[in-house]
Amino acid sequence: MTGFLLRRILQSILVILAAFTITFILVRCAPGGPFSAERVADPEVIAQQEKAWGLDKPLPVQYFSDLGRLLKGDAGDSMKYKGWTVNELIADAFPLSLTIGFAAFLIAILIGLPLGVLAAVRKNSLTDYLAMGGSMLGICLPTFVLGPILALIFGIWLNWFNASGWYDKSDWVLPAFTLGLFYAAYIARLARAGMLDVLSLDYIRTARAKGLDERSVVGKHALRRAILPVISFLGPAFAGLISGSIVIERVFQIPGLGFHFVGAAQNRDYALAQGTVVFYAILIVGLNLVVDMIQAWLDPRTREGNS
Amino acid sequence: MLRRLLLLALVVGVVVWFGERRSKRPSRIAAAAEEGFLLVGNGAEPATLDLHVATGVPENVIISALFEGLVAYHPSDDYENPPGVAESWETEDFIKWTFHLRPDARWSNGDPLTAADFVFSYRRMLTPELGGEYAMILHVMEGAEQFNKGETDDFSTVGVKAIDEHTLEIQLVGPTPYFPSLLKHYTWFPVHRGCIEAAGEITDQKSRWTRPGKLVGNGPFTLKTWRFDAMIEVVKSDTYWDKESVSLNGIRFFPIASDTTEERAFRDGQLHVTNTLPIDRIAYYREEAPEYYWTGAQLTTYFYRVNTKANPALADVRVRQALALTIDRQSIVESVAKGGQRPAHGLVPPSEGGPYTTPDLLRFDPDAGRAKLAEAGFPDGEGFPRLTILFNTHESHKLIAQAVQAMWKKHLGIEVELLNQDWQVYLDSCGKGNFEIARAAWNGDYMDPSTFLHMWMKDDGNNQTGWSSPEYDSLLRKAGKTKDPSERYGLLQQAETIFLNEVPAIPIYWYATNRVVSTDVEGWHHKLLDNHPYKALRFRSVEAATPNPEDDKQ
Amino acid sequence: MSAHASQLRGGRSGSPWQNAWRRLCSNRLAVVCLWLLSAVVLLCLFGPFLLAEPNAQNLSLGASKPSADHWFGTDTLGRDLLARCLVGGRLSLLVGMVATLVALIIGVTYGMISGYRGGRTDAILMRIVDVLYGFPFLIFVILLTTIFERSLVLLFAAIGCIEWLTMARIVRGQVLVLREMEFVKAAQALGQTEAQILLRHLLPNVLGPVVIYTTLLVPAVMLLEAVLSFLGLGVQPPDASWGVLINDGAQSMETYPWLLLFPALLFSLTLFCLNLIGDGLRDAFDPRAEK
Repeated sequence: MTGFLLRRILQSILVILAAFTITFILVRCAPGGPFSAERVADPEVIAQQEKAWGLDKPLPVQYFSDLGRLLKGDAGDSMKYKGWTVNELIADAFPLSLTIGFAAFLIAILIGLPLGVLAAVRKNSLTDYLAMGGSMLGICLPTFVLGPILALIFGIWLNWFNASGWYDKSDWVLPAFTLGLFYAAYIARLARAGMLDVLSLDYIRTARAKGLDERSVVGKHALRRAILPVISFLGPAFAGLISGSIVIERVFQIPGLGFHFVGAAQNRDYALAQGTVVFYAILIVGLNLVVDMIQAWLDPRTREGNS
Repeated sequence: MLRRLLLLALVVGVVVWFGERRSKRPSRIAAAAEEGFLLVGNGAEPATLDLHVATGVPENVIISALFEGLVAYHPSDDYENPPGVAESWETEDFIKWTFHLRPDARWSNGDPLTAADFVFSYRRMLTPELGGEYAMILHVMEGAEQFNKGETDDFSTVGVKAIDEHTLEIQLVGPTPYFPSLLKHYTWFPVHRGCIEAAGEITDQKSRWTRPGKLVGNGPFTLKTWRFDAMIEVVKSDTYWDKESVSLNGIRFFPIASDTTEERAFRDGQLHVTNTLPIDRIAYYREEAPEYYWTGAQLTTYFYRVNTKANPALADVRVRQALALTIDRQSIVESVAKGGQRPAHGLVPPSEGGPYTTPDLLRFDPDAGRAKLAEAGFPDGEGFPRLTILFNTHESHKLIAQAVQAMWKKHLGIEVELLNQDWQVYLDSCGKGNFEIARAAWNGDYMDPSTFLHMWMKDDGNNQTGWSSPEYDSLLRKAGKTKDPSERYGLLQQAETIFLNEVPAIPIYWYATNRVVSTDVEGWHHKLLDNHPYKALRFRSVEAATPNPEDDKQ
Repeated sequence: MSAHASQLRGGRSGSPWQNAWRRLCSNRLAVVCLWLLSAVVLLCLFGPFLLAEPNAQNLSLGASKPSADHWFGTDTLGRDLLARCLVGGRLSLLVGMVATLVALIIGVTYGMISGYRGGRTDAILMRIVDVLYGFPFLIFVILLTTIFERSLVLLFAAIGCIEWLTMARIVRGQVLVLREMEFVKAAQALGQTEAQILLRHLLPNVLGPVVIYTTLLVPAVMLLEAVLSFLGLGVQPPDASWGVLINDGAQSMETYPWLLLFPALLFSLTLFCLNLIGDGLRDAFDPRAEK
């Protein structure tokens, strides 16, 4: 187990480093720099600003100094929002994204899992068709269509929530549901499939034959095995939640991390772009590590690398 | 069965109760108005609040609440120059100006505001190491350009002196009758030396002196809260000289970038004032809810720059004229832009009652355009190179470019492609001349046509077309030395005429502002420069604390 | 997919393909979807030739509701929405197909090499896949598309490079089982090269799961393209894909709801059909592993 853990941690570090390097290269390849202005000033003015941020130094120097700073936990200063450090911006934005992401995750699990299990247990009944039909709909409706529609219905027509923005305590609801329903659909399907797989196995038939009631059959025996495909989906689900948050934040105008990231890329704010990507990388890699641990604990076969 | 029905009834009951409670919650604007707070949509998060570093409109809006210059903006009249920090001023030759500062002017930390503050402020703005992008506005001062370019270290060579604590003398390069109007621009505002120096080097662009608790200003409001990309809150200042006439207790600015979201927020009762309106909602407000709708001309021109160096065809003035003659500006304004914009018949936007008359030269004349193109050697568009229209990514620019593309194809038989780039890339392309035709807009900084005409001079960095005309340049230089206003405007008109005949840039329309304002807000007026002094605003629903003397000028 | 292996040994009458086809046809839902999808594809391919010019503007008309002249209405520039939807469909389907093809080629090659070589190569290659799997690629696609000039080719490449991972895993799984079989051992004994074995023997036998997964990949790819267009990073004007049309429609959703409704409907319908057909294919090839 320790060997496994060590290998995964080493992998994770490499991934984060790779993410940083790729971002570093990509943003600097882009045409346009952080200090281009509409009212074209003298080139000397731009040069002054570049000097203040160390952009006049050769690339390798910039790379290692940025990397060195990162290792100390300092992600540099934003180039577009002068006077703000990247750490401050990330600390400001991340709690929002986290709240929505976490709520969406809970919604996805709390709706998707029971729905999928129920559909499997009542296979080919009306419940099953409705559940699977609904989940299919969820997969086929993009979040940027569902979002505005939910905003229109619940935000404007019914006026239950704010249609956009992040001012009241209830502003997490619409974005979280928009994102969560999509993943609920996926999880429902996976749960149903996993459940069906397990229910047809021999030891379940044995349990039923022994006279154990349905609830304990499903709950105790089948559920644990059925959750496995859902758990292995969690890794990509987290990645998806992060990507999805970029779109959701645009739809609902939420100043979260995804929002800042897109802005940083567009504004050529090198420091902010690098900072957010590295932060995402750390997050994803960390979450994947946790998921792997859970999976390894639940199903020892995964430790050997059989997928 | 019964259990299921009961469960269903319970669920329905909960939903209805929830719905009732949620939809009856108090609207944010009503609650804010009771506190005396104005909720304003501001379009984007300000890149900075340091007025020597700022360049954009969202920054300007907030800076104008926190600081005040020698001359103030009038709430309703664009041409009036009411006193700001300066109680009065005089000049004999429009070159040397003497300003008398009011003795009760204070900074928000209680320090008295003196002429030395202005001298320090201009020195910081012009210091080359700061890299202030708007420093060129101060180049009207004698010696300013040289100091800004680093040709001298000695600030005493620049034409600004503090004669005593309350007298400021400014020496200009040439007669500038519109100088008081120029002083309304935020680049001329004072800054508090102690507050900046306490935060670090005065030339440090990353300095944090603009944070709440550190920022010291002299305006009607002070900075209380800054939640990045969420809200900026300013509250009424105790030390402002005119605080008696300030009715609002504070303002909250929300950086909502998407116009559809902002309009939805307004409808939701979350904003008193929006920054803009999405095109497709304008008709709705104009017809169904005109009491909220505010529109009016803006001192901004939308045009297509032509890169005369990109292609021999574009270097030919007849080609450019053909392109200019075949844009149906009326149709664009009516069917595409649809925001009350005016088709441009010249470059400088006309202002009602203003002293300058823009030449009426641009036309939609497809036959003449075809003739010009044929004259230039491309009859019916034969052999004409395939050009690209560049614009920054935005829905309306895309629609207009598509319309122009179709017009040129229909009337001239030429094919153009469209290319949209993100803002930074677009700026880079324009700056480097990597374009053939590029969409652009220019905001007037002050109420004088020269703000639109100077940029087309030969070495101006904002020209970007590769076009120049010695006659044009000499007319503008001569105007810069002319004292008599009508003689001066005549020279400027001649220059603009040359520009419109050569069309190195093709004006398309003059902007109009479109926004919605809550009916609870009183004192809102339409302004050409789109500045709205907040000290003139108040809520109808709340008893006005003191009458506002400005409103008597209705 | 052990049932598939048993079919290879001829467990039933008829070839596995014929059996699968028969099972598919009996799945009524999948058949309906197949018909619907074909209808949409044909409409998108040939419809625009019969209809109004999709880029013809009619500024004075502006946006108008569906009418006899314009079945789907018109957009803000007066362009016929039906024509735009069909042409947009062409582009979306094109992107879907080509990007899927890119993902296919990369994924299948990768999976086959990894599965066949086994051992350390397999371990390393699959480790890379594991690592890449949990990564939010959208971030890099955003970086890429904001940096380089937007072109269709870039779009295909970028999307394809994200979606190949699961394909690689599936193919590798298949190959791991297949390489132990006699016909492969025989080919090895005959001295055939690795390339020959991969191409001639293994490739035809992994096609089953590949086909299934491809029909599930296309909608994922199309969804990704739509997201990129929504963020303004996809297709350039005046071309449109469904993603662009949906984004445009969402902007004016309240004033001109039909601008959102029709493209969204077509898009969701296509995704729906593709997903159900994919499900049906999976059931058809491997009835025990009903998912």
